[in-house]
Amino acid sequence: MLDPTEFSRLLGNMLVWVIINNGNPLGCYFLVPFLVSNMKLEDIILRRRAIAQMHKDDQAEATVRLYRDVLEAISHSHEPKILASAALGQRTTLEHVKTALSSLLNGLRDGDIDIKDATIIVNGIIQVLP
Amino acid sequence: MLSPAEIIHKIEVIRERFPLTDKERADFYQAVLTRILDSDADPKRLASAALGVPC
Repeated sequence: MLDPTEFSRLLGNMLVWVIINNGNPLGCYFLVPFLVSNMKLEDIILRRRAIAQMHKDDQAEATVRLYRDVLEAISHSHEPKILASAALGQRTTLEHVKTALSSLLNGLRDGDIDIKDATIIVNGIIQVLP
Repeated sequence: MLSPAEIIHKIEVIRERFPLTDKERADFYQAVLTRILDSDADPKRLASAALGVPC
């Protein structure tokens, strides 16, 4: 089971994303794989919001920084497609979640991810499945 | 449809045109992120090619 602190973080992420998706609960799928990313879902959401508020002259530079950070995260992440869809402001799909799960399993097999993190992620997925 | 190897080659060719303006670079990175979503190419290799760092 998730410990209470981890579950609170999970729930916090879920609420952020449900708001972003206008209450569409499918957005809940988005949060879980981000627990192993060095770049959190809310970071991307907040930075995209901040860019939208910026003066037009500053948007391109900030967008480059955001995209570069996401690409760096993708280059050593188990959930690259989900990170990419977040950066582009798109919803993830069940297919992306399946890909992330597959990648996590490969990470486990290859020793790139430890069993504790994987357990948290899989438990998290179970918590948010409809 | 480009093969994964062709996609990576194109990314490397465009990256070598740097320095680009911020707008051009943002468009380039966005195109790479879109390819990461849409193609079967290894996302880590695409990201590394875009950044010019070893995979």
